[in-house]
Parts: sequence; structure tokens; C-alpha cells
Amino acid sequence: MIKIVNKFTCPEQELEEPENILVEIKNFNVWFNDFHVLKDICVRFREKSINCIIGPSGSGKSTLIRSVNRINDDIDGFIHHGDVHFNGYTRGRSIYHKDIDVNNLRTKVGMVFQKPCVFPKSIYENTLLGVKYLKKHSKQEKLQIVEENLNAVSLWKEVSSRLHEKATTLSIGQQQRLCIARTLAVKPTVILLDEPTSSLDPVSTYAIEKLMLQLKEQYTIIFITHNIVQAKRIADYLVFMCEGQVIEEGTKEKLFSNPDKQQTKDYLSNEYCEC
Amino acid sequence: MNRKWSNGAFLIICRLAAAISILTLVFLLSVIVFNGIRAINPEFLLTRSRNFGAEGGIFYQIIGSILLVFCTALIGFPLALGTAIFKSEYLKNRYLLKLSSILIYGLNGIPSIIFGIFGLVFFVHYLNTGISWFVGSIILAIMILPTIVLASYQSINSIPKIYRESAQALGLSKWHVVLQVIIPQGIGGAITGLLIGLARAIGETAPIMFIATAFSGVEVPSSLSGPVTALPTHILILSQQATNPLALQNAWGSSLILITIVFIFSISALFSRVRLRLVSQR
Ligand SMILES: Nc1ncnc2c1ncn2[C@@H]1O[C@H](COP(=O)(O)OP(=O)(O)OP(=O)(O)O)[C@@H](O)[C@H]1O
Ligand SMILES: [Mg+2]
Repeated sequence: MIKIVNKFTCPEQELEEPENILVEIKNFNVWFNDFHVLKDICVRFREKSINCIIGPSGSGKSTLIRSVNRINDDIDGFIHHGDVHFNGYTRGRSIYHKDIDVNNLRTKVGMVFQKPCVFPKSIYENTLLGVKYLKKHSKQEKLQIVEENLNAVSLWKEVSSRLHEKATTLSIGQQQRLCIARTLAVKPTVILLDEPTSSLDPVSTYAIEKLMLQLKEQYTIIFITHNIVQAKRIADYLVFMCEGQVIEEGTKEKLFSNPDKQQTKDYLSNEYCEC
Repeated sequence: MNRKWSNGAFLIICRLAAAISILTLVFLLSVIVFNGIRAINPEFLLTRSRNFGAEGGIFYQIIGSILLVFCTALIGFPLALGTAIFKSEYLKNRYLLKLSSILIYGLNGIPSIIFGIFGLVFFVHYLNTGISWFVGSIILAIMILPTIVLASYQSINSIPKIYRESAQALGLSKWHVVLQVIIPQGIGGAITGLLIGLARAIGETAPIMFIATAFSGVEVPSSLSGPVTALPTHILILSQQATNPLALQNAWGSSLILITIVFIFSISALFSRVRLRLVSQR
């Protein structure tokens, strides 16, 4: 079933700070059955910064980041080829290497989805869902973890009096922040966010953007957005994808002011793309 | 004009069909209530039967039936839930999935007397258990297994994929996802299926009459073996003495009690379903 298209290899890019790279995707291909979705992806995500992925609908952005925490593995017909390196964790092996513990990997690479998905449990239990299997905690410690992480997403003040109410009673914006909090509680290194603000109102969106700017001090953020203005506001690095390929990557400043490719320029200036 | 006419005719046919089914049900129920209510008094409910049921009450029959379905639930529910979870979460092969569906529907289509014969041949004779109420519970559990599996599977399989992925993305293993997400969100549907199954099981005569029940002279069994008396088999024996008006009256009374219990199960199934829907809508 696997079709190796060519002997393509990633161009060795000259890097100003090579130690800055945390996630490195090399010659990565994905098929869903025989539909070739990602084609020879070569891309690097920088440590402790906001890496935004932009591109038109269906270009494979979600498929790409869902490959970084291997949540695609369970999808029917998913076939991959190529390497995803997670520096400092996998020691030179791809995360798809057979010795990698997927569940452990996912505690290092957290993910927030487009539509907030809280479980029909209390706010307290939702925050602790990923933590409680890692280690035994006392009641005191648990409350501390809840407070710390809800504080990190500025939700603590709003909900501290109703921790034991169902999380489904929160507003959508609050639910999305709760989703981020429960991801943070697991103490990941990388956080993947797939259009986390696209179902939110402007105020909640602003709150999440502000949060991203704080979180990048400690975490490596990979953030998909449809919204070019949003990318302009928060990104440090940009990756522009189209039809399953990475057209261009680089710092936000470079891509917005002086991109190498005409397609990038077209997309960033009028969201038009012909790849 | 023509379409209007056929629409009107169709409406009339539907109304007629609905009216006939409702009237039949109302007629049946009212006959049972009308005849049964005369038999019912505290003594009938709380004393043991005498003279092959023609005199006395049905206390041990009620206890026996409840004991039977209680153990049926204990055996059937975990088995069915496990099967449904396996089918929904672990079984990925398309052909095996199809095969499992065929098997489940097939099991559902087996007439209940066959279960009775199977219990008699396999447990009572081959395994030499003798007449045992517990074997009756096992057989009833096998009989209602498809009902519970189908209901559980449906409710588990309709949990949106995003819940599984969100839990997995937090590093939860498959087993923990089942414990934290699948079971809490699917259990409502499973319980609905259980109650529907039990409503059927408690009214069955054929599967238990050869293997689990005695017609009279039995109290609460003290071990897993030994017979019980149960409501449906009691009704059977009473109706065989139909020439005795006292026996007949007790048969009506027992029927009313049985129907009331079935009704309670069905109503609880309905309510657990409504509650489930309200929860999932939030
Ligand atoms: N489970 C799947 N099975 C088959 N094809 C899929 C599956 N998931 C995605 N695809 C296909 O892969 C391609 C890329 O999809 P993907 O969701 O990665 O795009 P995207 O860039 O995230 O789009 P959007 O901006 O609309 O979210 C699409 O053509 C889509 O139809
Ligand atoms: Mg997407």
C-alpha cells in the first residue's frame, strides 16, 4: 500500500540557532487509504515560541499536527512514512519508532481541539483527568494542581466557587480554557492547538491569544489558525501549507514582509491560493 | 385531487391501525385488571400458596421471580457491557464486526423454548446440576444478552470520536479511556437495554420451566442449586386447573402482579432513556 513517491530529502537549511529546534518533521508523508494527504513534509518547530500553521481548508494542517502526537494512529486507513523527531525526548529516533510509548509521548505533546470538548464530569475532575494516572496525589496536592492550572488560564477566579459543578455548564469560551488547563496539568513540553478559537467569541478569542503569549515562555506552541490577522498578532514563526505541502516557513516578519514564494505573498495578502 | 385523496386514505388507514392496536391493548389490560384485582389483597401478596395455588397467596412466586431476574441482571449485564465495549472499541476488522452483528442478531432470534431445552440438556443433564434456579438465571441471561449488547453498543458507538481523542491526547491509555469516558457515557444506554431485557426475562416461562422451577412447595432456596417458584410458571399451573374458580381467580391475580412488575421495568427503561437524552443534550 505504501507508495514511496520519490527519493526526496529535506534541503539542509542553514540555521542561525540550530539548538532552537524542538520538533523536526522530515520527509513525512500521510495517506488516508490511497488518498495522499501530506506530501514530503519537511518542517521544524521552534522551542518556546508560537509556531503558527496557516493555509487553506483541506491543505492538511490538522493531519500534520495530529501526526505529532500520533492521534491519527487510530484512524481507519491511516498510513504514514517518514520521521517526526522530538528532540530531547526520542533521542534521535522518530516518534513512530516501535519502542516509543504512545501514551507517554502524549503527556509530552498535549493537544487542544477546535471544538472545546469537556467531559460530563465536574470542573475539578476534568482538570485532573490526565494527571491522575501519572502519579498518586493527595487531596491537598490535587486541589493545588487544579488551582495552579486553572489560574494559568485565568479561570480560577471565575470557577473556584463551583469546582464540583458539571463542566458542561461553563460557557464555550470557558470550556476551551478548561481544555487548555487540563492539557497544561499533564506538564507537556509541546502544545498543539487546532484552530482553538474558531468557535469562540471575540472576547474569549482575545483571552486565549493573550494566554498563548504567556504560555510561550514555558511551552512550545504549535497553533493552527485560519485567521491571518490572528497569525500576525501572535506568531513568532509561520508555516504556510497548501495542498499537502509546506510552501514556505520562516519568521513571521519574513513571511509577511518579504516571502520567497509568490503563493505565500498571495495567501497572506488576500487569502487567495493557487498551488 | 388524486393526491389529496390518497393522502386522506393513507391517514385514515394509519389512524385505523393505531386505533386497533391501542384498543386491543386496552382491552387486554382491562380484562386482566378487572379479573385480577378481585384476587389481590395483602394476604394474597404476603402468604405462601396452598393446594397447588388454588388457595393462599403468591409470596414465594414473587420472591422467586425477582431472585431469578436479579441474578440474570448480575450475570448478563457485565457480560453484555464487556461485549459491547469490545465490539465498539477494540474490534477493528470489518468482517469480524459484521460476523459479530450476525451472531448477536441470530441469538436474538432463537425461540425461548430452545434456550429451555439447551439448559435442560447441557446444564441439568450433561453438567448434572439438577433443577437449579441459578441455571435458570444463566439461561435467562444468555437469552437477553443480545438486547443488552445491542443497546449498549448503540449508546457507546454514538459517543462522538472527539471524546475518545481528547482523552487519549491527555495520555490516557485505551483502558483508561474506556473507564473514564466510554463507560460513564455509555452506561445509561446499557441500563435501558438491561431493563428492557429484564422485562422480557421475568415474563418467560419456556426457558425456566424445565430447569429452574418447581410448581409448588418451594420457599427461598438456600444455595445455588434447587428450584424456585416463579410467577409465569405459577400462572401456567393455575390455568391448567381452570375448572376450579378459585385457581382461575388466583391466575388472574398473579397475571396482574406479573404485568405490574414488567410495567415497572419498562417505565424505568423509558425514564432512564429520557434522562440519558437530557444529559447528552446539555
Ligand atoms: N479521517 C480521514 N479520512 C480520509 N480523509 C481525511 C481524513 N481526515 C482528513 N482527510 C482529508 O485529508 C485532507 C486534509 O485534511 P485536514 O483536516 O488535515 O485539512 P486542514 O488543513 O486541517 O483543513 P481545515 O482548515 O478545513 O481544518 C482533506 O482533503 C481531508 O478530506
Ligand atoms: Mg483542520
